[in-house]
Amino acid sequence: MKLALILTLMGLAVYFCAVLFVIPSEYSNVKTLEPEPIFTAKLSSNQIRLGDSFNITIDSDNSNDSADIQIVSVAFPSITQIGNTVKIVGYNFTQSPRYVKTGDDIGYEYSGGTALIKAQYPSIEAYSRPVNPGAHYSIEMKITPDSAGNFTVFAKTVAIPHSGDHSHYPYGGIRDHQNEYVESFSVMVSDNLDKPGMG
Amino acid sequence: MTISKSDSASKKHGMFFLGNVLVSLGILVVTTGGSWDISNHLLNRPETFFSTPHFVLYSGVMIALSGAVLVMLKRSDELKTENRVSTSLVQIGIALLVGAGPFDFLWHSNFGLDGLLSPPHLVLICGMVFSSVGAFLSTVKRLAEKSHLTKHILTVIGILPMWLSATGLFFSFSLPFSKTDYFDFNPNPVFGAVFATLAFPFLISMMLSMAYVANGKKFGFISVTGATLIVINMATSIIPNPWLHPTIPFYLFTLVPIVLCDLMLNLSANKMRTYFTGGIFGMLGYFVYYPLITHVYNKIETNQIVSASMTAKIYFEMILSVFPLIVIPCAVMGVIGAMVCHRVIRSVMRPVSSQLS
Repeated sequence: MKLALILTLMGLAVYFCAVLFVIPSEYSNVKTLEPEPIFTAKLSSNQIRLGDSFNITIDSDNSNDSADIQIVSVAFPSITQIGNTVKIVGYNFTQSPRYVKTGDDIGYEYSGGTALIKAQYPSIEAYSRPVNPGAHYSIEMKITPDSAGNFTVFAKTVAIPHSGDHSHYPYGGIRDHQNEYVESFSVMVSDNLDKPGMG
Repeated sequence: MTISKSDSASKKHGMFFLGNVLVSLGILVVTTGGSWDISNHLLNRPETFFSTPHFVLYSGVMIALSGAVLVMLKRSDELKTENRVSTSLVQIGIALLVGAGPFDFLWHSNFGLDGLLSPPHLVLICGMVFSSVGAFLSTVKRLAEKSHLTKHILTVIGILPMWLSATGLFFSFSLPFSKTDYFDFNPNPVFGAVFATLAFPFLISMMLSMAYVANGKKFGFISVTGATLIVINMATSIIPNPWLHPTIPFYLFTLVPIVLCDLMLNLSANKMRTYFTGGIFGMLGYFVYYPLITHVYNKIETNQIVSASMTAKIYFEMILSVFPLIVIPCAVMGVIGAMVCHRVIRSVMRPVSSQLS
């Protein structure tokens, strides 16, 4: 009886030693995924009249490893709220889009939400999970600016796990309010009195 | 042919017993569906009310509801007096469960994606806890009359719904899954971690000790109940995420200390040993609740993004920094869980043993 008891206690000690000191090293050495997301953007027009609309289509891809999550963020620094200005007209990401309002807490420097900052302008986040290498997802938006001037759109894509400099795209250039690289697109919106393309 | 009074009474007893078993079984299905639903929210499209886990969940509600109808209809005066508290718990629990369905549908319709902790989910979970506790209190009194195999089955069907629904309640107050576009019901990360450290060890110890005490302190009941919980957790939280498949042997390994404690109590059971095993059960909190517990401690430990492929890595990276901090409170809560269990079972069984004598 005593021997059986000692063996049982030894068994418990072996269990705790194994789960604390042996097993973790086996599992934590597993390689982290290195997804490489990318996108291409297409504008329907570079110049419109006030009251007219233009479309922007963003096609995203992923290569190398699969991503747990891939986010395509499209931000609108020229406006303070999305309202009726931006409408999604095409969307095949697996998750519903997330609308980020000015003042919302958002992730900072590719931390994915673990370090936070307030959004300075609105954006739309399209995302899928998981995203295998070679998978394509796209979002098309119809934008109707409500004032004349330059209408700017920022676009970027980030993959999670964010394991290196190639886990986001673009790799360099302008930085946005999240201190993350973006590609910038501008459309000149002329007043009704002006005649774009005529002068 | 005439049916004697005693035949009719025994039939009522049988139907009442069956009703309670159906309530427990229904809640077991609800909790399994609920756990699957959490994994589904983490991995797939979570926006729609008409998802498979929701279908499983509400099928369980229907089973529990049919059991509750039997409990309500097949009651003699004797059964009413004997099971007043337990039947009231079943009634309240089922009312909350039934009410939670339309409430959840309305919530999804108005606010889309909902978090883990939301008013309809809280109503649902409270309904699950009340009805499973009520049903178990009624069935546990009759366990002694059953055969060995039936006892095993009834113990699992009675205890697991309570265990899983209390787990759901405790996770609601510790997991950071409750922030949506409309509401932020996420617990404070420190509160969540402290709460999980205290609540889960207490629960594990209480439930495993209950399997042991409710069956006359016989060998095997702790192991079977623990093994069933581990299989359900594995099926609903690990298998849906392919990145966690390599960790299945590690998770199954959690069964070893449970069986060893069962053996230890079988070798010689005294108060000291019962509390010692309670402490060991408490220390298993970090392992039994893998992988979801990763999200709780990650919030205050490393604060990384616990995405599908990173869960195991983060869990094992944290283990040596988290476990030494929580081991003592976990063991203490495990001992308290075993003590509370003994008191509860003693007070539930007393009226029956006095009737039998």
